[in-house]
Amino acid sequence: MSIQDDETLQLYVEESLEQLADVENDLLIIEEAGADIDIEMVNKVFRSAHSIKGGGGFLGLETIKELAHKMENILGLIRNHKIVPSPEVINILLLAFDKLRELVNNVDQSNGMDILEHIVALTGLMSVSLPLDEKKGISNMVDVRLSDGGIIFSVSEFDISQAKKNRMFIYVVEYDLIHDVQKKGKTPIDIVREMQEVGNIIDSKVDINAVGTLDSDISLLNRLPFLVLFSSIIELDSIGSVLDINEKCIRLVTEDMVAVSYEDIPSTTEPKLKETSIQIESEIEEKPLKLDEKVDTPEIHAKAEAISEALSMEEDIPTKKVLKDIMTGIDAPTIKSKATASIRVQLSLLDALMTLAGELVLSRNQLLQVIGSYDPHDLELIGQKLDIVTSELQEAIMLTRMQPIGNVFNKFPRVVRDMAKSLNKEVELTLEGQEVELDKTIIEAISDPLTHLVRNSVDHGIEMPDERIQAGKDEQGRISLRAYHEAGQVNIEISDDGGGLDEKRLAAAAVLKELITEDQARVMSKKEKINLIFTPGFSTADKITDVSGRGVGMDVVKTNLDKLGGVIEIDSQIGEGTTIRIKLPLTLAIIPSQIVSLGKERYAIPQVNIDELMRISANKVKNKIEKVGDAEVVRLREQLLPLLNLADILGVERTYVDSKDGIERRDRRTKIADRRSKKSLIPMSDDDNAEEDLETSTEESNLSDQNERPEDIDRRYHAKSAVNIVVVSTGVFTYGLVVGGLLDSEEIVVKPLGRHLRHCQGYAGATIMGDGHVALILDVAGIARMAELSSLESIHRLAEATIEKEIDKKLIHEVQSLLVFMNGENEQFAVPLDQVARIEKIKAKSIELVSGKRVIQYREASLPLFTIDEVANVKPLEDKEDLKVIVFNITGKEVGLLTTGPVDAMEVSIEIDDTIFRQTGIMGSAIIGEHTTLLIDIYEMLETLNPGWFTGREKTQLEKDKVTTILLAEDSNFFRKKVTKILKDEGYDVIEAEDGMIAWNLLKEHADEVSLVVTDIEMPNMDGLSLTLKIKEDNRFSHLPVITLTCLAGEDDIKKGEAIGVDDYNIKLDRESLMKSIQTHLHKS
Amino acid sequence: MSEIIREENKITIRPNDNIVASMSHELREELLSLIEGGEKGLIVDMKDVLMIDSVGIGVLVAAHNSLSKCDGKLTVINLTEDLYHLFKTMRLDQHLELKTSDELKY
Repeated sequence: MSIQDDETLQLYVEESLEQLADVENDLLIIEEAGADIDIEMVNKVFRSAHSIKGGGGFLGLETIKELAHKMENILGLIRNHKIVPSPEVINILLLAFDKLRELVNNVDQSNGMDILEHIVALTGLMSVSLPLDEKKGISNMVDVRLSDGGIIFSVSEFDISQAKKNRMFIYVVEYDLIHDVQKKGKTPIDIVREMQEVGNIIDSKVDINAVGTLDSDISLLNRLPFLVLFSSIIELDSIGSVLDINEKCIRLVTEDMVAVSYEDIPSTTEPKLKETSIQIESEIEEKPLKLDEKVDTPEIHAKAEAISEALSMEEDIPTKKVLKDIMTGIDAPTIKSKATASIRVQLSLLDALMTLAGELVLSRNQLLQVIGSYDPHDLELIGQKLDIVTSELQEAIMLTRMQPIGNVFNKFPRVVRDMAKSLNKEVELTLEGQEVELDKTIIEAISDPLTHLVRNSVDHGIEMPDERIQAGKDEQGRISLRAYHEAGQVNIEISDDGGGLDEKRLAAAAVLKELITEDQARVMSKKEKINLIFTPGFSTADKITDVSGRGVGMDVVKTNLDKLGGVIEIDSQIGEGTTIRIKLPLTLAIIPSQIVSLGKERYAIPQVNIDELMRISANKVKNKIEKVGDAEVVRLREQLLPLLNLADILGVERTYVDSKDGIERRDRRTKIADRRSKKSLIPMSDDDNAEEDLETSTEESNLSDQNERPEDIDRRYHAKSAVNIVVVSTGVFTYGLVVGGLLDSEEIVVKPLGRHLRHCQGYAGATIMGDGHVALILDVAGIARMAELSSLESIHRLAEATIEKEIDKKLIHEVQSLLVFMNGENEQFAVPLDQVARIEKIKAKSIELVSGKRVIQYREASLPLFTIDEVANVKPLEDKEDLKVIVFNITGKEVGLLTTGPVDAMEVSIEIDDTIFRQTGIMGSAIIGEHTTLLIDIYEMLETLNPGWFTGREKTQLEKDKVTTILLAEDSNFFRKKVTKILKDEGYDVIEAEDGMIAWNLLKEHADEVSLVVTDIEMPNMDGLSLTLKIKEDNRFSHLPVITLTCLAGEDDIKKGEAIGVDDYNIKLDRESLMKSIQTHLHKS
Repeated sequence: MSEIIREENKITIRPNDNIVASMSHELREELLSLIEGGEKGLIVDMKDVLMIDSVGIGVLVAAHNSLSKCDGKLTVINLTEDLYHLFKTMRLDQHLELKTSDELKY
């Protein structure tokens, strides 16, 4: 039959592809379930194969029909528990479905395509792979007997039960080929086709006895009965008219007409049944039909037998080998997949579109009317209406292009399964968020990069099962694919629990390949090192795959995602796994963007790329913007951000709008030509002499501009002179783009750039603004490339490294917040600021002397006062009118220290000397502000003055039978001694350690004694957080409370600590709260 | 008119047109004469036959019946794919020996 009209064919192709899309995953589910078959699932696949077969038959696509038919048979056997869907079986089915897809994709050529191998494989499965007794199932024969007893069909039970399962009716149709066919002008081929279109021919026979022989009189040949055992979903009352035959000739086959026959089942698979008897009865008795009647050429048969033999053998090797032989021939099907030109849309959506189109027509009519009347109010109304309708229309049309990402995800179970199999790994794939919708173009384009990433995860991410067991992981690796919406974008995450990326090895490999220098590698952050795998050229050497684990073609992945406006991020922990996050816009046609200006030109930056906007007012420019090497950076929170000036990159003349007269002038301080000069890239930032000197020495042309100078002073402080920075992210790194002005945020319609602009890498496209002007869309990654920002990045790193070093240095010296005050003349004291409750100004004369103690009336209570010289051997308090009282709150009691001013709080890093001036009440000395300053130990002081205040608590501790031992880790000699003393005073036993490493070793030695750990955070060898982590991860110690002591407890630090398991934070040397915290946690444990 | 090729204990009859009612009488006569001449292994070459109608099938079946009576055998060769499928569907292959035009095709 010739191929039908295109439309029907196209419909068939689409439908079939849709059916096929699900088949793969369903088969995998079936495989997973193994012998415990999910009938529904098998039925689903069965139906897919069936409808493909049906359509194929109808359209004359014989090859497709043939293949689908074979698959249907196998699926039927699986459904009836005749074949266990082992991986081998499923493999053959999967490969066959692949082929089927290829056939459907190339429907025009399908009839000429070779499916021999699949047929062989499938037939092999069908006939011999079953255990012997089950094999009967296929060839188990049943007789179909009509009530009048005369006519008998003998068919396989399988066919009958299959028809029943499909809710089909079984009929015996009796045609007379002469009367019912010939006389109606039809040929037998016609009727066979008719029947196959509406059902299945299970069996048939020509009553050859009725024909007689050649020598019979010709008039005898008026009857040629053709009996068909036919199954169809068409009901009895209409089957007659469908088949165009008298209803009398059709009989419904009921249960009681079917009986099991007891003939011997032939064990040979001989394809041909050679008829020797002309007697129908005897024929039926002797020759049950074979199901695989179409396999009849010797070659196919030989192959089929080989497979079935192989399958039935116990040994794995030959089976695999044979299967492999079959598969190698048909692996990697060369599908010329046609991008489907049509799309399926929900009817409701189409209705909505129709409604909107109607609205649009109405609005147009109104507009036409109003145009005549010139009524501005009406015009405005219609304008609004048009606006609404247009936006809604646009939205609805966008929706028609949306496709669930499941379309892409669905192929991954197969990819993962096949790969894992060939690599001998065990991988479980979980999919999440398949319903998330994306523009069709994106869906199509994302498929390849995603496949690449998933393959990488299986290939390089997940380790071999034995490696995994060694690493204490589950034998089965896990890969999860997740899609979700976030901030108007779609995120896709591919995470595995494999070996992770070793950034050091990546960096080493990159150095080896001379992609980066060793110096660069040294200052690179972990993230930058990991991102090296996106570097073109990194991927090509196959050695690197072995070393790094990943990187084949990742640059291509990145490029593809860039094209889509996507951003990719990698997060990896060695030994724990890798998460790759892709952010994609919902659609490519319309993107939300930030419009920026540069002179008179406007540019759009996609919101996807923007992290934040920054505006540095002119007078702060000098403080905020720093220069490292020849690059400018801006300090943004704790980060240094490299800056690029858009004008320089694009080669546009820098201009500024003069704040006085509003005229745009050329920015005189820099020229396009010297954009790599050592001068500031930031306009309006330099007025100081140093800059000016540098400028005049490097350029001579600016002297003529000197007369503009007076205006500069104004300009610097004018709002318009602020520096606008767009903080953009390329996914790999972040930088600041200095632009002229920040305008609106708009949804722009993306237009591709003309061919003549293609080579400009700074632009991603163009758009037309509301006023009709064209704005170019900036490609932030391209801009970074143009500016060779990668080198800038390293500089930025270098700078950060130096700053970090400085901080480190400070930490060794312990940054302390101190309250510095005077006591005697030229004698400076300090006390930790945290211990201070408040400071009061008093007059000396208001001090009262009550029973030898100085007090002051304060808020209707008396505040006891003391001076340092009462305890320590220092100069007495200077005799002054005005005194300051530093109020401490110790053990719930307030006490005031009399001092003379000035009192100053400062944050200093000091080196504390605890020997020279050590005495009661003085913990040591340090140089603060060029003065030797004595540090007060307020507890010691008060204990000396009022021993009674502290005794109560000590007792509670001493009463316990066992002395509690605390492990203290602190690198500073001073603080360690200090804390030890505090703890010992409180009755605790203390084990001291100089750093985390020592503490860890001591802890192991004294595992039984230690009941609490107090640790400093910043320590050499092993810091407090690592120590905590070690403790919390060790079963022996995880119950121990860990309290950290720190000088700097930032929010971030606390969060980090909490995540690790730190039980409490304490600011260094707040004795009160430390004790409280120790007691609380000891009590708890 | 059918072409009749005689080879060693094998006789092939090749109809030159579709086997339909109009020519069936002629074919019938030819077959009959061959069988009556004592031929037992009769081969019908369908090389030039694209279509066969009910009467045509009737003729082939009748020929088969005649041959069976004297322990002969009817073989039909060079069937087009369509006809081959038709014969298979009608289970005529249980009575006649069938061969497609291309042996390797199924």
